[in-house]
Amino acid sequence: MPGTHLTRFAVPRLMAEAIEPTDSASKIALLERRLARAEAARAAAEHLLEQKSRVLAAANSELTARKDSLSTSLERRTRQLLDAQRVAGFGTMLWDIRSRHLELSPQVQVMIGLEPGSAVRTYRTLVRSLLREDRRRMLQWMHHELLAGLKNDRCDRCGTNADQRVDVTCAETLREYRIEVRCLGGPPGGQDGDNVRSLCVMAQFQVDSQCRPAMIFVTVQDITRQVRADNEAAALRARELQRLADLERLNEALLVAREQADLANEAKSRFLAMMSHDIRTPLNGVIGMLDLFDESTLTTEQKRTLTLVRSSGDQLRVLLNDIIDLARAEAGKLALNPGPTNLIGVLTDGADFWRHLANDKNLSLDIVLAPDMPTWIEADSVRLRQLIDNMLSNAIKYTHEGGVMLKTRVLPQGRLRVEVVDTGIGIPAHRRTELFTDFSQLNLLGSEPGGAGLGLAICQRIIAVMDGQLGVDDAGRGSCFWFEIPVTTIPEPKRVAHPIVLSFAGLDGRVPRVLVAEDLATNRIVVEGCLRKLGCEVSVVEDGQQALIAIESGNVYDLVLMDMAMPVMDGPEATRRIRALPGPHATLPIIALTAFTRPEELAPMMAAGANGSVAKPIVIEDLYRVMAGALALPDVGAIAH
Amino acid sequence: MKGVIIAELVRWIEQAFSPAVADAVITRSKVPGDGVYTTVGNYPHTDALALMGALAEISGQPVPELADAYGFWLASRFMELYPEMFEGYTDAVTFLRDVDGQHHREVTKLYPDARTPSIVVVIDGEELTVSYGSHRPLADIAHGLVRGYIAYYGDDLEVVRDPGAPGPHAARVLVRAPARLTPDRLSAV
Repeated sequence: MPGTHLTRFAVPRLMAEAIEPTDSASKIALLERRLARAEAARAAAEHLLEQKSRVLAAANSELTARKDSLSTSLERRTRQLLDAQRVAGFGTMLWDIRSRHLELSPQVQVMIGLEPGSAVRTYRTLVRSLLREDRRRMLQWMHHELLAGLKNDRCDRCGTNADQRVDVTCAETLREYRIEVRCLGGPPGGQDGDNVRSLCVMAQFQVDSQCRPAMIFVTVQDITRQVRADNEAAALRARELQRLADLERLNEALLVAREQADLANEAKSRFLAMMSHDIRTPLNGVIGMLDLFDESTLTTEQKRTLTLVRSSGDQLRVLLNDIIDLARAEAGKLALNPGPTNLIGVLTDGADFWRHLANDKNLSLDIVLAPDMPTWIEADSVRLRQLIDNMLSNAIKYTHEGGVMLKTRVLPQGRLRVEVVDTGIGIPAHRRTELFTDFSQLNLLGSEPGGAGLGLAICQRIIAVMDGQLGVDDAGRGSCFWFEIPVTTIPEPKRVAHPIVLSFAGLDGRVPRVLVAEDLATNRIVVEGCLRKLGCEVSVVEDGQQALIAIESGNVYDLVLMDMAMPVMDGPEATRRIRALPGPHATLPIIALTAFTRPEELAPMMAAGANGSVAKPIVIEDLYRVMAGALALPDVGAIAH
Repeated sequence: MKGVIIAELVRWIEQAFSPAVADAVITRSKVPGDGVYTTVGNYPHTDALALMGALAEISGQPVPELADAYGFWLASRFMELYPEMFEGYTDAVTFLRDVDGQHHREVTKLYPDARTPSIVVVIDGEELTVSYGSHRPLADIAHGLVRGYIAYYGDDLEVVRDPGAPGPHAARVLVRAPARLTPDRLSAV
């Protein structure tokens, strides 16, 4: 090292003489001043150093406090992070790209079945913890995807690739690499298969200050539950799909079965309809012919026989009607035909009708009507009467001494209770449910077998349609059959007094001319007899075509009674053709005369243009009422009613 | 101003002139504190100017010449006092290049309140220009320092004070060394 670069200077002589000390005292004084300055400088330096030391000590304390605070904060945050990882079921790894050193968080170590704090330094240790079948996949992912991405991927931002290094990883740091693998880990002691954990591994590059890839930051999430839930959901879906398929097959089978049942039911309905038609037809003949007897010419014995025959015919008709009603009810086609109904009249008429039977058995038949009972209600009087008839006839049938009482009671909310109490043989409580079973008759001690056992079953169906209830109670001695129905009270309809004369003769001074088309001879005789009784002029033909010819040939008729089922040309076809004729024929009243009583069976006739229908066997009152309506005679409703 | 500049100024006067001249300069300059300076303290730069002015009056030498000589001597003192600053350097140019960027930064680390001058080194062709700028009018001392460093490393360089630099707050020193400043050397700089 060169020496000190000192350039010496000289002071002018006069100045030097004035400055430089010459004597000892001056020299000592100069030395003392220099010493004093040096002392002062030293003291000042010490003072400054002390100050700086104090400042440094204070700074050191503050730094220590801050360091402690930061350490505490760091420790707390680290603990929070580790707790968060444990609770959330994920952990982290940091992989140094240059040193290949691997740092695992404790949670990752737990996940892969290691003790927390185990030394895992390379990724190979990690890979070995995976299930054998996943190891190759993991290595391929690391080498072909992760590291290949590091080397080859082009940066989206600067456009350079990794070979050029500069800023290439700016896009890499944003990209996430993802793989799902399985390992044996988790809580020890689980059942076989329980320790298989599913892990979701996601990696992201981290760069150093020169923007070069330095670390790979990896998160590992335990997705075992999710995977199991997904698997279970998939299995459940598969089971549901299988169940759905089974149900669809079952549904198809049920549809087929239902179709077959419908067909069978339809066949049964058709059978019932045909049977009722076929039975009604000869019955019509029997009863109708009986009506034609001129009783004035018969002996007493003949009259008695005739009465018995009529009674048997009536029973047969009731039974037939019951069967048809039951068939209707089963088909859900039991409909009500409500209208103004004299409730007291229906009850008293019913009682009066059965009184002679009670009298024959020496039974009393009493009526006790509630004083607040309405007289006129809106109801189906025929069905109501059917209920009364069934209950009264049963009561009389099963009572041998004492009597029968018909009672009514008005209940709250516009309901009416009707009771038929008898002093008959009674019905044990445990057998009462059998009462309402179709074709069921209780063979009780002292009972007289008879009937088809349909009465109460039909009553129950009628009551159901009326939205009411039907039951039987113990009456102490005998039984109490009752029903409750909702009733709507109405004012009394205007009544017009007319003589009830079941004859058209003389009503308007002219005899109605009626054409009857009926293929069966017996029926023709019955119908003709009924019409003549009603005072009509009758022409008879055997089928629809003959009826059409009779009309076309210029004969004038006031009304046609047309059977439905006839050879050559049936009733609906003949009706259609008559309606198609010119002139007044188109409006000629045509009444269907048929044993078909179901609405759908009558439909073809009504659709062809018929004005109404009369059921066979013919009840002469019904015939009169329908004809009067079709002929538009005044007040026929009142007369017929 | 750092105490080392002004304390070493008193020391330089004692050595370049005499202790008695230094004593007389302190007395004549009427600086506060009677010329008691320590290298670890901070003092107004006006003290240095007052001392330099008193010295010029006593010696009859112009201030720039005295300041340049002081700077030249100070360079060698810095090497004695702070040898670590010069470790790793083998030539003056490299050292000068790093003065502002590294050495002044170190000074600022130690003394956060220190206001160091700015030194900008520009290589233009065969000329090296060292520009000095400071709020203190001590450009002549800076010139002497540059000369001192060049002399210390023994570099064969010619140092010329740019006469165009205005006032005592700034100086531009041209360092010419055609033989030494080859393009390779310059690119390394």
